[in-house]
Amino acid sequence: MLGFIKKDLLVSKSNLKIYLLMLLVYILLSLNGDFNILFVVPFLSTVVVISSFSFDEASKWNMYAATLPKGRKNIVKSKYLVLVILYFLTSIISILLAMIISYFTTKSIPYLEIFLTTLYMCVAVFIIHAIIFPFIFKFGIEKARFIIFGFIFAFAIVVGLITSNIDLSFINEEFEKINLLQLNLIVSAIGIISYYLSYLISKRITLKKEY
Amino acid sequence: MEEIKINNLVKKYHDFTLGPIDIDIPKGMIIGLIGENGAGKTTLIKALLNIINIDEGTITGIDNNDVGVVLDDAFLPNNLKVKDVATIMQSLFPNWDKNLFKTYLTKFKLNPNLVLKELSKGMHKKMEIACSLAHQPKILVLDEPTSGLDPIIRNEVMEIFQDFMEDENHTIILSTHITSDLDAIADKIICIDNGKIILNETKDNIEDYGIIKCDSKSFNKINKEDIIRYKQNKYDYEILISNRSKLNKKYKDMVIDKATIEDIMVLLVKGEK
Repeated sequence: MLGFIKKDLLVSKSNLKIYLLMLLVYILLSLNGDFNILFVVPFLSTVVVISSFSFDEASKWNMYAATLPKGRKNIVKSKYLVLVILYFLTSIISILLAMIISYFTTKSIPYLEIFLTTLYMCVAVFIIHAIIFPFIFKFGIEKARFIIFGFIFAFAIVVGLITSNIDLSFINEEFEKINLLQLNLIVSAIGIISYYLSYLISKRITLKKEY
Repeated sequence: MEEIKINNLVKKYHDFTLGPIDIDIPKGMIIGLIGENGAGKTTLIKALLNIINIDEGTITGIDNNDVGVVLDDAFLPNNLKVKDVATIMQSLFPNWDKNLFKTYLTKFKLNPNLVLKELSKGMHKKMEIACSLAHQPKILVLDEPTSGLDPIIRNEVMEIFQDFMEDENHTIILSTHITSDLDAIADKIICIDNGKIILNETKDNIEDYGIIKCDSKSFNKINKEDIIRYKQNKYDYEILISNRSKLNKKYKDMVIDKATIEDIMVLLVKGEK
């Protein structure tokens, strides 16, 4: 299991310069106020994990891994865990950067906003991956890429339509009425459960898959 | 560790069926798997290693923990360095022998700082072979392990396989196109053609296979029951027989050469009955 995780991290290391460059661009754009660093930086973890699928596919790693002890199970488990590890790592970086940027620009640090944005981003990212991971395990990254693009496109259209046509200020009003802690717990639970269910589906797909 | 038993194995694809295959592989043997491209060698190896699901039959005696593999074209991502491979393998296999791996790297002249994609095909193969051996498996399953290697390195690799076989509990299943490699080391030869086993003989029996090259007049003198397969060339006939020691006495006026594994494979696949 550890070997599988090490493999993904070492594979990503070869692209480290590109990822650091992306991080720098995000920081610069955030300083400008064009980007919220809390939204963008954690997406780096997505880029890293999705790229690792491409590297695996190019070298037929999964076929080799299927011959290892508990290989098929670990193929799936490691990917789900690597995303969690990288996501939390990038989240910590983004929170620290957000605090620094906030300190130098507005001189007041909105801790609650930082915390909530991070939490909801986290849930969103894990739900998105809960949906796309099983497709990748079923069809391979090359075919699943189109499904992922389709999904992101559809998601963007839906969000775009909602935000431009519906007055969402009532949500803020509703938010103020509900116990914030309860809401956060429910949202977190939805994220965790959907990610775990997705893991079970991907594991099932991979245990039966032929390479 | 028990012997490996393959019973009535069948794997069906829409345009190809492997099997039914029945093979018993006692421990302590090197099994050479030969056959044309697309004959079913890789499918059989994939079935053995649980890479594909089989439709019928059973395979017993193979435990993933005890198997070292070299697959035709499947390994770690090629943007990793040779030294990264060692780091990863060490975590994948509890029995990984760091020093043994280093010894192979030195023997194969593999630089730990090279990236896998910078390696030639032969160097890459050597890397895979080193990995398959360094976790101290009991069974080696090797799909075309010597393809891309020059004759000197191939010879070295064959010697390494022979060293591995010094432990009588070890087994090697090796598929190859380079049948001359098997002449030296295989204990048993299995030839697959169009998904079916057409030859399953020990090396001792193989030694008794012979080739008669003769004209049509001599060909007609040979009892058809003694002929396994024959091939009619432009000027002569090539005849495969299986009991050279006996037939040498029977056909005293003919020269019966010892058949190489390649001769046997070619005549079994392309010859007429």
